[in-house]
Amino acid sequence: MASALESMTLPELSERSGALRDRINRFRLALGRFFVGKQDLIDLMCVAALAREPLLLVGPPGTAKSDLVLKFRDALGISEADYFEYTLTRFTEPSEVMGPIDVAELKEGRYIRRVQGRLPTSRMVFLDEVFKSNSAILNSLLTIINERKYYQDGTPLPVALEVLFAATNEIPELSDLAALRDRFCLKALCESVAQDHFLELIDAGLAFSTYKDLGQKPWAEGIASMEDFLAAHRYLSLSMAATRVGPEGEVLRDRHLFFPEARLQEFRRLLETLAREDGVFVSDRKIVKLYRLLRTRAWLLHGGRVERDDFRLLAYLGDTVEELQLLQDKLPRLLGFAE
Amino acid sequence: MRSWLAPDAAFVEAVLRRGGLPDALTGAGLRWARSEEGLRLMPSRSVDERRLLELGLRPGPALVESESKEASCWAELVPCEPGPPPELPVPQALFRVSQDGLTTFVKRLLHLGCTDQSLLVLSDGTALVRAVEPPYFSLISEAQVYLPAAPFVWVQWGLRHPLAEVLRPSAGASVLIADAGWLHVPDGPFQELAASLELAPVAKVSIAARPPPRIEVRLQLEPSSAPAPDALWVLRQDGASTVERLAAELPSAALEDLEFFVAEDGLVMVRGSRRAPAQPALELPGAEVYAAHPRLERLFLPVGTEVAPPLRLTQLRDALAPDPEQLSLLVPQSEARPTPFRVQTVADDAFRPLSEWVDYVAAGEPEAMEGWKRSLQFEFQPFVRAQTWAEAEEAQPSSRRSWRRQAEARPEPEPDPEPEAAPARAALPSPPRGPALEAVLTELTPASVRAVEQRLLEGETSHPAEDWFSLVGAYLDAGRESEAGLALGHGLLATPRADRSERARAWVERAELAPLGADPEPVRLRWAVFELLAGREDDLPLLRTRTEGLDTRSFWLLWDAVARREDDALARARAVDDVVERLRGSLAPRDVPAFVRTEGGGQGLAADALAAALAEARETHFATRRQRSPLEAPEGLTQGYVELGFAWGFGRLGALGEARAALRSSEARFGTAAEGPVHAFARAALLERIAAAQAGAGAGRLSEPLERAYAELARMERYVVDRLAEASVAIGLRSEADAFARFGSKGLEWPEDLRPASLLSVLDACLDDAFPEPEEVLEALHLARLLPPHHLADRLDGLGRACGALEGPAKARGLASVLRLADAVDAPVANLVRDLAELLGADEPSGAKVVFELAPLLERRGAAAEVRAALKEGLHREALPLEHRLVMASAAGALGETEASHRWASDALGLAAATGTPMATRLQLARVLLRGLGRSSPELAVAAVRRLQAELLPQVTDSGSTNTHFCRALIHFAESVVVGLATPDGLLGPRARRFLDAEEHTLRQAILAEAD
Repeated sequence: MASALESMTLPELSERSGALRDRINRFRLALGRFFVGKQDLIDLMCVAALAREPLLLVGPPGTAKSDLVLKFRDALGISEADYFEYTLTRFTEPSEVMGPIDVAELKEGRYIRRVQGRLPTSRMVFLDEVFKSNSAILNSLLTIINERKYYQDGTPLPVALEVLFAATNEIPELSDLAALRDRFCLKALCESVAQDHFLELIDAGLAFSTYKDLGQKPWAEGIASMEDFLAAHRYLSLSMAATRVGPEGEVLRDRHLFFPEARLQEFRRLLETLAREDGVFVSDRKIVKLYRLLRTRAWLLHGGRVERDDFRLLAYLGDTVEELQLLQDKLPRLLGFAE
Repeated sequence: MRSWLAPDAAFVEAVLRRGGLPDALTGAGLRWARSEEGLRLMPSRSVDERRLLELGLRPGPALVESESKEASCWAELVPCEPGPPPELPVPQALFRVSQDGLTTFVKRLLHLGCTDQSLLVLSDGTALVRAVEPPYFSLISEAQVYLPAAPFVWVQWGLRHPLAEVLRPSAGASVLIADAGWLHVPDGPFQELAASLELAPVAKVSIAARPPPRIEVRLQLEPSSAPAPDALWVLRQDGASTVERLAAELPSAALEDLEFFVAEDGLVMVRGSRRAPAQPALELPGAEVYAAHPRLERLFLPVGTEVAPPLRLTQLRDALAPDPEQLSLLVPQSEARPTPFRVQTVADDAFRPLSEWVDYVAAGEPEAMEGWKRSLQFEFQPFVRAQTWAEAEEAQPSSRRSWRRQAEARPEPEPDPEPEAAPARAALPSPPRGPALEAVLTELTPASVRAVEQRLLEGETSHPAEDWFSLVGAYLDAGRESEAGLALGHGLLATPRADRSERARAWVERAELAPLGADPEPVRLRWAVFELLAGREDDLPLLRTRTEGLDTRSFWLLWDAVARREDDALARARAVDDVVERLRGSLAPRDVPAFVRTEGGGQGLAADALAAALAEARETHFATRRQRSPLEAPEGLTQGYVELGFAWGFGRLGALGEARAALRSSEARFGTAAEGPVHAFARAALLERIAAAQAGAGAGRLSEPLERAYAELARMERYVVDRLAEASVAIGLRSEADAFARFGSKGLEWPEDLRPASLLSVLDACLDDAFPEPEEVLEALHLARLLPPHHLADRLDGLGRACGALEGPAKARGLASVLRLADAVDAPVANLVRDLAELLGADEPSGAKVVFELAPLLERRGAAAEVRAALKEGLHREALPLEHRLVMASAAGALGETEASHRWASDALGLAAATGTPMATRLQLARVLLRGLGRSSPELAVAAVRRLQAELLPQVTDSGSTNTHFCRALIHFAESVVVGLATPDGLLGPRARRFLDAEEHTLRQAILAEAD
């Protein structure tokens, strides 16, 4: 399937894009019904999966971080072989995540890991308590997130990873974790909803217990598949890289068509304001990633050009819990949504 | 009419700057066009052609209207240039918006937290919105934004105009300068937004009011966290006989300090006389013991209790002690907690001196006359020592005080039937140790104590150590252990080190101390240091952990003893470091003997007045309604911090009852909402500061756990805490007093090898560099501080020169450090003072801040005149920001130039109170103003606080960016009030200040010399 997808051209994908978008939208809304007050997070997970950007969920225990990822996986119908999940601790060894060393190969002098069923061969990965890992694992993770590759006996090999979700109770300030923190362009607070949705929470919780007792997974409806996400990702990538010729022969880039000048200016002003007033700095690398994410969100949620509402995505740019809280509060004011 | 050719716009700018043409011409409109040769100008008015030719303009044909443009004046031909990004927050901005979009725009600004807006509608269908501290997003989002460049001259955001500062728009007009052209608009009147708002009607439901029922609150007694000393004893049974025994046992001098009252039912009360130097410590079996309320001396509570709920002083007075002629006793009615009570009153003048007791009882009773005779026999008790020191050691301890064994432990001499025939002096056995003790014990009377105190205060003593020791004995006899300890610290430090142990041993034995206990009071801790000096080392582990409460002399004596005992050079170096830190800038009341504090009018009165003013300011603060910005953090949290600030202020003034009340109120205001690391750290740090203030300690470093907690805060949390620390003097998080603290904060480590030779080689290497880097200079200053001062005498010039590599505040602090070092070794300071005076002409006020801090040193070293002259010159500079000017005026005030100081203070007060001034400037002015006044003129500080609370406080709110933890502006303002009123310096008379300054100098020299 993957190879068939790789051979598809932009016109072919364009024909399918409407149907793809429709399925993914139905998927996210359907999945949202099984949670209370988490629709924004599910939307964000979909955007992150479409853009192949890792997403970090930040929140105290019991705020459905793991549950979101597990149901997302069930709903996409990802098989055991394609899914890898691990809770990291200070004592987790690289072999637990990357696969054990093959002793037979080692006797032959080769340093080969048996990676089947581990992170390198999984298309969707969920790492809980990601900042608690030790430096050996951190280095491997950075390489995998950055370059989508790992090493077997010194030879770089591609990983199968398509979607990476991670979770943490807190975002540590330690400098040796800064690199990993920075790789997660998107960080989302996962907060308790009990105060605002107390009764709904009890109802949903009871229903979920029943499903669990009966061994049912009604959220695994098969509305959309991993392949749909991959196809949509390829469509968006090709679309963003394409140039067109305008009516007067001028070259039209993606931004000319999908990111109006006024929005681009507003985008710049928002980033400048956050930097000057609150010290929230966005690196050049993140700006490019943000462009792709904004485009992806715009395509998914309203099918066309970037709109002011898409800038809500900037609320997930913070590097610390305090920054995330500040952005959550401030962005709607800046965008005029709080009026 | 013809045109005139100018080569380019730069030429026009030069002509205008030179002022070669009349304003009537250059300020009038003209037509102009650009040609290949340059700019063609055709003025609308007649011109002096000869003058134009002289200036280099060449004549040409008249301009055609269709090929030229119009300009409002010549300066408009000079184009704008890109300007630097402005500092945030921008004080004011002018937005030009269409009238259609005005409502939306104003609403948007309000939602972004900008409430200070005023409007001016123009005749061309647009409107001007003048906004104070507008949000950054609006500045970069709107098309026509102008910032003030000069009076009535506004330049478009992002640009600057070369001539903006010299433009003078016509009367009643402002000019808005933009790339697209200039706009001349009326300069007002702007209408406040509040007056322009038309609020949508809201359905009203009237609720009839009725007078609220009176709420009765039953007052009760609760255990107090800081018990006051015993002050009044009530004997309900056998009062007469108990007091008779007391009279028989006490020395006559002590008897004169007591007063008594006898009721008709036999109840007897005893209290200390108002004339007594200190409260007596009595042990009366069966007596109810009462303590005076710390702020209302005619109200007596059972010792160790306080009234609950806490009341304001006026309420407490009205409810429980309304009559100034009557004493009120709160008599417990049960054992329950909290304890109900009833009020018993007794006329204040019903108390009589206890020395009249015998007359009272003896009327018609011959037996009672015997008692009178017996009491006479004890009159010589203070002068008699009929036992050896070894015997005294074996004497039974008394329970009179918790930590000091008392006089009863010493067997009293047998009554001498003929006392006059046996002079006490002759009977005095010499103590085996401490030869000076004998003299001390024999000669002190209240008058002679006062004489010794005056001698010390005037600096006229030739034997300071002996004078201090003589005071120790007198204070111990009077039961003033705290003062005795302070005096002993002075005496020991003035004694050669070799003799200290012996002298300390003699006095420790004389004081007859009880064991230290697990949680000793600061007064007892001080004596524990003397015990250590005397060779008793059992309490050293506890002492090491309790140094915060020690006065500076005891602190040094402790660490010096420890360093010598353990041969630990690092401990001594750190002790020097800490002592110098303690001595810097702020005055610590715990170091000041009572006779100094009460010099010149009496500290009690002044402190009371300031504490009352602070209490009034606190009440006003919480009663004032403010216009809160929608972005301001929840008010409860902010006011919790404000209460902590007030508690700190009360602590500094010694008003412990008020401090406790403020602390309790802060807890209530924080409630459960103040969660998270920021609040946890900030509150803990403030509580530590408050405890230190109550103990009379200055603002040194935070304790180690808090320093660690600060370092462990996340980046954003630390940012929030730092923002609080910028506003809060009380939290005192960052010491900016000199380069060392800053250097320390950069992670400078103590050198491994602290031997002078090693330190000197590193220091010399730093100083050998002809063009040192600033970091090298800071390191050199740090090393200099670790060295014994006499090694530095030859290097001070080098250090002073090296400071030249620093700039701005770093240079000022560096010079201050070297000045202090030079002062410590009595080295010349002329060059350093000259460099400091030069700094006073800089564009920032750090030099003046240093002068403010070092004023006593400069006076002492005869350098005040030079610095005063530089300050006066600096004050006359034009275009000096008022805040800078105010800092300089404060420095001038500290050097005795009160006239200039008060004149600028008056201007600053007007500006801080004025609504047109941006809030950030107003707050900063208030801080600088009150800090200066608090030190130089407490009366003016009180007046300034009242005005600022009336005119500035109602508008104080945060309007910059979102802050979820507290309203920084409000904390800033409230602490400015506290700083203005709670300055311990304000309590001292001039003679006491001179004494303390000399003391500080002497102490610094002594310690630095001993550290060698």
